[in-house]
Amino acid sequence: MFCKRQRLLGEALEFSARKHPDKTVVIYKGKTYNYQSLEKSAGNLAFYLVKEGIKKGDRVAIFLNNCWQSAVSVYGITLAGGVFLVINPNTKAEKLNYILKDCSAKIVISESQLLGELSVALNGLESVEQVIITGEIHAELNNGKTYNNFEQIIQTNDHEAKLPRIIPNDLAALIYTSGSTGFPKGVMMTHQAMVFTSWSLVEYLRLTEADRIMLVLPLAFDYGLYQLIMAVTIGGTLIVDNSFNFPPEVFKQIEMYEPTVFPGVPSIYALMITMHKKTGITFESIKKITNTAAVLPGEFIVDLKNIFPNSLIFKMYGLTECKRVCYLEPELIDVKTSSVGKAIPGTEVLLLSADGNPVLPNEPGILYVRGPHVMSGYWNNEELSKQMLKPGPVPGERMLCAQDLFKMDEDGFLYFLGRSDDIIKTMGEKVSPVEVENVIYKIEGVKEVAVLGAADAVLGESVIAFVTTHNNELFNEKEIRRECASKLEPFMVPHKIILVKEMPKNSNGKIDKAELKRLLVY
Amino acid sequence: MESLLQIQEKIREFIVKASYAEDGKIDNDTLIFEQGVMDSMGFMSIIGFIEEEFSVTPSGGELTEENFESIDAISNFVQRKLQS
Repeated sequence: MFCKRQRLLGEALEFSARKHPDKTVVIYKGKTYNYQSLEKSAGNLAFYLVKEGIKKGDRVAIFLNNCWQSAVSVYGITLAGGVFLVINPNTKAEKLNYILKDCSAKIVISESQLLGELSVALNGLESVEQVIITGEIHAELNNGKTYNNFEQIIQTNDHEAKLPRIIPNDLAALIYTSGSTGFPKGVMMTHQAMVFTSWSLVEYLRLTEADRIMLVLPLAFDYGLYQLIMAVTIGGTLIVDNSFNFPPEVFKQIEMYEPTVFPGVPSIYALMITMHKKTGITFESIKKITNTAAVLPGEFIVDLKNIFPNSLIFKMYGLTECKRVCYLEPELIDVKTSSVGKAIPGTEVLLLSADGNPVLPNEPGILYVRGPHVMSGYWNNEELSKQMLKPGPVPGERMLCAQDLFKMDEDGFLYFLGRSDDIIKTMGEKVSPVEVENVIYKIEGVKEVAVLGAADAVLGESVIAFVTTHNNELFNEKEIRRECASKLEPFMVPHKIILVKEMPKNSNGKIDKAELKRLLVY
Repeated sequence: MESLLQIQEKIREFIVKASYAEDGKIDNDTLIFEQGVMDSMGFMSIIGFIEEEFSVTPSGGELTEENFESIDAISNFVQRKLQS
């Protein structure tokens, strides 16, 4: 019998909804939503977006906390042929404005709770024609934009508009990620790349429709976004929480809904280990835990096996520019303890020297990634795209230069050695030092500032700010932190602020961060 | 034994010190995690604090929202544990 195969992101929803319309796809705040209702709501949103003028390739931004509405938005936008981008709900006005301007989003989907920050960000932003709000709309925030109610839209069955024909080469999403220049970059992903990636992940994670995935990571983070995509692809269930900020809330959901998959990052696991040691807490329902975003310390493994006694542990490594690079088969976790494994199914990695030649086993090399999961480039940034995408072995092919240093052993297993840029990775999130420095520089009394990462067992790296002040002006650490908290996402706020009399400089007069790093050790 | 009021005061003092929040902005019934005053690291520091200050260690089953969502909740939990 002829069977239609998935080519587009939205088709996963179509197929799963046809197969089991009544099955729960999302659990959020104690409410369950089935596939039929996700398909219907997303469909209604898609027709509305097209009616409102969204054309194939137009950008539609999702600025929401993780919720049922964000799942509807992702699929609604993709069915309408639009390109979705999910923006972290902790993003402050200035950065939000930058992202919306950079991608010239036409419509923003958000919620009443975030309207304060959003309305500031929308000032002077011409591209945004309409804001769709879930929850109450405050009339006084109406800054020249049209505001419409999300709930009303997804309940309206007006299918008169014509949905565009989408092909796999069309763009599906922009995924914004921190850049070393201080400005986030939009990673362009096509339907083809995302469909390929979702199936590659489903395959090696051995997911089935019986799986229930616990989401605590933001959907703005590709690691979080793919939990939704994978759940829908396999016809499984996604238990949605907003974050791991308040662990008891997550524990309650685990107890109630018995998820089988728990995707986390080392800082989450570190907290769980501490809690386990103090209280003996364990999670029996979970069959698979996954880790990426930062290296999972080898000494965590024994404790994780105690906390998740029935679980396989998947160590993985990736970068937004290709979503995921490699994973270690969980059965090898005690054999290749510090390795992040091999390339994900259907892809290949190469380690090359600075002059482009393959390196020998156990020699450090720069990681190159080949496969359909590699991004199409950065939105609006040809120059940076060229730095990351290099000619591959097949004429016309572009492979990703990950800029990270790895070594490969005789058996072909990969070991992460270090980053070649100064981006800080903390709690699984990327922090651009420049972005933090720019905020601190604006604080009165601050003369110079240098932000860098220091190794930290729980956070991966902690964010450290070195500061010098003018004329011995009063140094107020709490005030600096508070100012950072009001301008930056919480994970960017320095964990430690160190006052120094003078900044060490190199021969060009630039602040010598390597010297500052040495100061931290002593 | 310390009164509920004394426990509340100590916990409030700790939370104000450990967060960026201004003292006047947190009420005893403010949902400190939902409002973003505290995060998961803050949660762990609260566990550490009540252990050190009141010798109270919660069991796995006691790590609930009801016991930790606000200054009131934590104080009541600590008092219950001290009384038991």
